[in-house]
Amino acid sequence: MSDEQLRRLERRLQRARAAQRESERIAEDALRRLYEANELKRALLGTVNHELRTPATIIAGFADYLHGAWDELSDADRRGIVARVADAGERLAVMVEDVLALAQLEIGAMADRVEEVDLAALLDEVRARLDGGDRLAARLDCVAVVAHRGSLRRVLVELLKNALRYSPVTDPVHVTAHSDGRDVVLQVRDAGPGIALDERSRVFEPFYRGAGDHVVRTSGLGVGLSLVRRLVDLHGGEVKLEDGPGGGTAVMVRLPATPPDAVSVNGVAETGADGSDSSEGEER
Amino acid sequence: MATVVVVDDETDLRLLLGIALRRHGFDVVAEAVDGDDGLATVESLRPPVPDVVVLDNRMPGMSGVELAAVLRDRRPEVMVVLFSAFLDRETEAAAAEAGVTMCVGKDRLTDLPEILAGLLAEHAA
Repeated sequence: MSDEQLRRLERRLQRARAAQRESERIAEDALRRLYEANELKRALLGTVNHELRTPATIIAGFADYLHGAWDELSDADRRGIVARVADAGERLAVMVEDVLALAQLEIGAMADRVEEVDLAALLDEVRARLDGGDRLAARLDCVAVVAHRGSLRRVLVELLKNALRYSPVTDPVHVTAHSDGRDVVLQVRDAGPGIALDERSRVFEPFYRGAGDHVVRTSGLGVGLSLVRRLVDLHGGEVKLEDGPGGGTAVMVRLPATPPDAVSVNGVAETGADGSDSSEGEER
Repeated sequence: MATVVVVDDETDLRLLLGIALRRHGFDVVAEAVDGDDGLATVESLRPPVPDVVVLDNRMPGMSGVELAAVLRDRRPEVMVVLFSAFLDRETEAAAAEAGVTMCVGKDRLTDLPEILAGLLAEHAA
């Protein structure tokens, strides 16, 4: 074999080695992604199982206890147990409602009427039904927005219940609204632990609940912010997460003064995805 | 009377477990609200108490499986049962590795006392 043939062979060998390394890198990358996807699915399944089964177990367990020990229990004990069953039932109902609302939005079904909504009145209505609603500190420079009322109500409920549950109970949650001439800008700011930069896009994914003890300590399926994003998207608006001044999270919702036609598509029901008939409780 | 420590971050589930176990003759000697509290609680008890620790898995701080691994090293005579809402193969394998005697789904709350009684009888035989 001549020197030239040897050099050519060597070059081919180098190219083959480089191709092999690249193939290995691609395969490793694919395996890693598959592993991450499986881990994500497993984590998601774990969350859904835990969150749905826990209240279901509480309801079934107390019902069984009441049935078996009715005569041994005092009236006060029975009432106490029924209250616990009711709490667990409500917790379960809120989660089921959220999942159904998300499913309705996924198939493009939402109520169709937009109207001028009085933000201050809507906030008062939401505040009255939220646990800790008295901790809201509102400054609304813009009092009206054209939107689907039920959807806007759901957006407020999801943002406020998140902010209230992650903020220390001694701290207020700030709500502001103003018009920049083109859009209405709504901001909800809490004094909670904040959301890490690398988590900010993921918290809008359905069933993603973030990391950290503050998340494990709270219940919920992790669909609240997904609902917010989808509802705001349908109004042609946008949602952003920012650091609150001095810590915490600031969620900014920007809604166009006139929403696009997308809002007035195939209406289904006035309850459901718009949350006009759901109770409040969970989520980030 | 067999002694039990219950570790779960859900108040209602601790209450239910206590009721179910006491009604079947177990002595629930302590309850703990998370993994770290569970470890401190078990370590504060003088052997041979407890006979069994019933643990949730998904808790703030140390998980149930993590706590089981610590107990296996520090209190190997204590039987550990994982009582969890979500049990898949990976969780059960990790639990076995951590020294958990048995994993029981939370949908089997009413069966748990009999399961514990069976495990303790096997252990004593």
